[in-house]
Amino acid sequence: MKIKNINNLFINFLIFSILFSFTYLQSKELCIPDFELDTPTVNVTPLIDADKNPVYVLFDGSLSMKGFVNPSNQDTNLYVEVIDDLQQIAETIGNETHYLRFGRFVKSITESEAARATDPSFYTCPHNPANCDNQETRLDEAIKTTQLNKDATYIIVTDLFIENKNLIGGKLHQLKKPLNKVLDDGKSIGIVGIMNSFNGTIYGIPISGGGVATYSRANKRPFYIMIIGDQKNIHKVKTKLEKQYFTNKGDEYKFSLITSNPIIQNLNINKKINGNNLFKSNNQPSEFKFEYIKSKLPLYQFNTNQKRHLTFTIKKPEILVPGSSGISNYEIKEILWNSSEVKCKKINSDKTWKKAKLDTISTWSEKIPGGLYDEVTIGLLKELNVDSKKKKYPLQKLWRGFRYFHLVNIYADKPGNISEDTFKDWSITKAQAQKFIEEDPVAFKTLNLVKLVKVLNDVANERFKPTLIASIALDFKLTK
Amino acid sequence: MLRIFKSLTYSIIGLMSLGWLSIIFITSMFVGPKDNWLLDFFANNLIIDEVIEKYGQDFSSLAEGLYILMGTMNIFLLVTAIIFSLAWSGLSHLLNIDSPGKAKIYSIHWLIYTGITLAIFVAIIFYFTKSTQYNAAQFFSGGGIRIILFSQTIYYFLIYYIAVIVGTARFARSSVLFANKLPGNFL
Amino acid sequence: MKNFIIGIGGTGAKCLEHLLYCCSSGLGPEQLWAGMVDQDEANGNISRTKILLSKYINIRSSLREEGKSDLTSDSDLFRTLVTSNSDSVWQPLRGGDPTLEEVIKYELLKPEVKGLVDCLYGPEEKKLNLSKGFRARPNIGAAAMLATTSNVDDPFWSQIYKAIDLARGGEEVKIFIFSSIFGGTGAAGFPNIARKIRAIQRERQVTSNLYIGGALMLPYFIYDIPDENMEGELFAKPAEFLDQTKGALHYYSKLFEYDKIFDQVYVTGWDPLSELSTFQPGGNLQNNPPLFSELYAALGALRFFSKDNAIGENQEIFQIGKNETNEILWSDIPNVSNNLNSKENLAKLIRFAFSYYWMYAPALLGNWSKIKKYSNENWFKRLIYKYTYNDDNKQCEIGHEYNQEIVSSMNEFCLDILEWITDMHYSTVHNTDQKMNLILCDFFSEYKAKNAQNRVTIKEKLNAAEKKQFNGLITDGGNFKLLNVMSNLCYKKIKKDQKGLGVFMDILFRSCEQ
Repeated sequence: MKIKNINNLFINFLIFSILFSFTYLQSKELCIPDFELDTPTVNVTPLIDADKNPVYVLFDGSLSMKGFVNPSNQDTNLYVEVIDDLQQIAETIGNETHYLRFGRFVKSITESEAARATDPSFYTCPHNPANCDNQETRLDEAIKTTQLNKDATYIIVTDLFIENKNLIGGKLHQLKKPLNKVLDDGKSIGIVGIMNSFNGTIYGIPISGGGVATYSRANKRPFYIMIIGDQKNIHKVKTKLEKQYFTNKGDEYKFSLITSNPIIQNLNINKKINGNNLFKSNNQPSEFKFEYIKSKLPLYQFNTNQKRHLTFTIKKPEILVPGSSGISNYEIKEILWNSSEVKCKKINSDKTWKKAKLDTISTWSEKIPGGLYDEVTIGLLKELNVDSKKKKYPLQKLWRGFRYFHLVNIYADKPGNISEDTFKDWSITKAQAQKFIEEDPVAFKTLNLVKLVKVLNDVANERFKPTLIASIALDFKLTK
Repeated sequence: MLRIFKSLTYSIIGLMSLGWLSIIFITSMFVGPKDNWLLDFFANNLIIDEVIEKYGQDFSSLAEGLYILMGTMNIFLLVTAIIFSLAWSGLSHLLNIDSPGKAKIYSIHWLIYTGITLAIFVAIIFYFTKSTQYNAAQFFSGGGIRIILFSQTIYYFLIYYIAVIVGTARFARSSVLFANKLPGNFL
Repeated sequence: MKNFIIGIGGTGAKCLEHLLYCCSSGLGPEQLWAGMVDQDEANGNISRTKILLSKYINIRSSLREEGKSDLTSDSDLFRTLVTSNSDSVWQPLRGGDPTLEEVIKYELLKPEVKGLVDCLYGPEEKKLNLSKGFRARPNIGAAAMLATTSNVDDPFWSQIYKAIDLARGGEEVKIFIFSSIFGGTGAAGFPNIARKIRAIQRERQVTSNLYIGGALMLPYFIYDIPDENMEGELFAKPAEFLDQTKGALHYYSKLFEYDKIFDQVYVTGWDPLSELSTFQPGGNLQNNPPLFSELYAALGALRFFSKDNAIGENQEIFQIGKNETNEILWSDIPNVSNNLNSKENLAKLIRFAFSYYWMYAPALLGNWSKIKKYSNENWFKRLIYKYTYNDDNKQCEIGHEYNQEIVSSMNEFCLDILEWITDMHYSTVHNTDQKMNLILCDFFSEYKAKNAQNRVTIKEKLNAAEKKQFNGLITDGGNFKLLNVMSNLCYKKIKKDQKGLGVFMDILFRSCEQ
């Protein structure tokens, strides 16, 4: 009995010692310098249902739009089908749907009138041709309607055939003003471009020497659905349309999202960062350990020699809004501490962490400049400028035998402009117009499309604020 | 045998004429950094102070490792100087200088031997200041390494040379540069 | 103490030759007067010893010149002050071609005395031309020597008279005589000259302080007599040596029984007899090689002269021989006294000769422009430069005539040493079963037994491999290298008061000591 008691006591003691040693080790290993974490400014925008708000559907009533609904030789007329579906789509994203027609002015229309948007008579006003507002496309007026309800979603169906005069001076200002408000409210603008069959006349084509011309020989031209509102609703509309009509997109479908914040999330908040972001599993250094500290700061602890390249990668789809203009520049804000002591006990007792006075430390790169689907690579410590000597490996600029703590905050610094490239081949400028029609094209392009997208991007970019994408910390000892 | 022992004794005396400085230096290195002219000299001339400053470090906190490096390196250099000078002094008695005019031929041997000694000095200095064996070597600037290389090589060469001059067998003095200037009955 | 050495006949000259080399190595007494007795003045051995004696005296005097080149009395090298008459050889019968008849004035003798002479000497003996010695006829020699007067004015006999006067004055005087018991001059001279000295002693009423010793060489060599041209000639026949010896020994036993002429007699011989390859009845062509047993005689003389040698009242007869094997070793060579080790000194001398002749003399011969290339070497600086530097002229005078004479004389003497020891080494055992194991000499010399005038040729230069064989120069001498000589040369302490080239010579000699 006595022996049994002693055995039990011994086993308990052993277990306790092992546990204690683990915890001791655990607590022993962590000795980081004092610092404040940068606060993330963007939350995850879950693309899930939230409170529904009204949806406004605006139809471009200009005469140029008639060709989309005239019967043609084509079997499928997407315009008609999309317009038909828009009602349904609007009802899924909003609690009520309002219809409007715009040309020079914006006018509310009834549901039944909206239903006629697929009929040529919608664009000709046979009963009241004198008062038919089909001579102009005043997009600025359409966008102004976004002031009606800042929480609403606005779906504008148009050919985006904007004359130059509407993109300069006061007209431009008038276009920008409501856009500013939209983007200031945190809304985004999605542009879905759809190449459709066309049987009609395109009006208002500028020609050299002033004046305008028409063109009737096109059997294809794109129309656009501009969705102004929450990203989630834009995403919903886009997704539904894609699923329905554009599983194999090809050249007939384009999408671009114009937003003041193309970043969808901060990777720290939902702990999206793991060990593989820094080291592939087959290339981990010795004594490698990964954990989250201070609730959301990923900490990489390891020993390494000077011949290692430290590269942190972020997948762009994890941080960028799909279809957005992306980010053209990232900024890295970082602090590097170093300690001549490597053991935590000594570091803590002698307070040996010393902050480095270095301005440039790391650098970033990407495979596809401005791309949306590749990776951002952060070359940690690659740009250390301690002295003029060139080193083959970045870590050779650090001192062996020292312990380092590197806090890295990665910011999206400047938005991209990839959407301009998205629509480039559907766009035509005033200068190109005359020559274009002389070529007798069958697929017609949109006048000033890129210019418009650029205006939208400029407005959005003016509102862009550097956004913290990710923060990481490295705690490593540099060995021989 | 007695002559060899005498030569070795003279050699040791020759070593001590300058070697005492090395012993003091080594001792002060192992005692550790003190706030004195030596630390200032290190800080102002030998180390990459700009880089240290950029890393937010203070040289006085890094000096200990450097001192140990310097102390150990000087021990190696001193031991090398002692071994090589005593070896030459002893072996000079065994050189086959058995007739007039033969001593000069062995000057080639001495030059080669001294060259090897110098090469070992340089190799030791490079090992300590440029290899990865001692982390404190990272704090040396290029200019600092050059200062160490030249000053230490010259200093330990002088220790070796003085020991060799006074320790070389009389009949072999013509093989050592300027040793034949010593008076005939000296040592 | 005053010492006198007399070598009678060819053997006596050869023994004296050995003794002079031994004296140059420091085995001799402080002072020694040397003379030779031979009717055959032109005898090759006599000439050789005369030249050697002259060289010895000259070198010694030039290296004992106070204030110039001085070895000082501390040095063993040429320690013995050897003096001699201007003509070191006493010829009993001088002038013309004397015959026995003329010497004894036969024509003037009374008839009865004439008859006695006719009984004792045959006609050819009476008419024998004695200018080339007594041709192994001790009876002729004895008669001839007794017939001449021991004239006090005669340079040779004046020295004897001087010796006796010194003894009367209270100084100890030792006289030693080398001679062979066979042959002509020696056999005749040995007892008769000694008796003459004793007669003068009695005449001068000197009763003490005068000691006479002698080395009596029993037969120790043999030679073949050629048949041609020797018909009717009178000459020493080896076949008769033993008979002569037998007769002589019988005579001496009687003599010593009744008359204590000698205080100490050293007797030695050799068996088997050394074979000489050449024969000459006399004259300058009679140039017999130095043989080992003569060295015994020389060492016996040096022992006689040694201060440690206590001469008793009774006559002492010493004999010596080598070990019973066929090998002649260093252990066969006796020490002169407790303080004087013969082997050490002789070995030192041989090494000195080697080192000097091949190593150092070539560096010191010539003018200053040739020599100065060694001026930075330690041995030169401490031993030559410092002691031949002229403060007035501010230059080193090693290249000057005076110093060059010393250098070249010593060079010659060293060559003589090498020839002597090599000749003795080969000639002693030539054509016998014996083996001389004292030195290694085939690497620096060439031996031609039949070339009487030039039996041994010493190489002028040695290559590196040959120089390396210096280690084995002295057999049983350990591993003593030229390097050791050089080392000693640079480290040995210089004796006080030594001057000039005496410094270098003494240090080099001492450096050759193992």
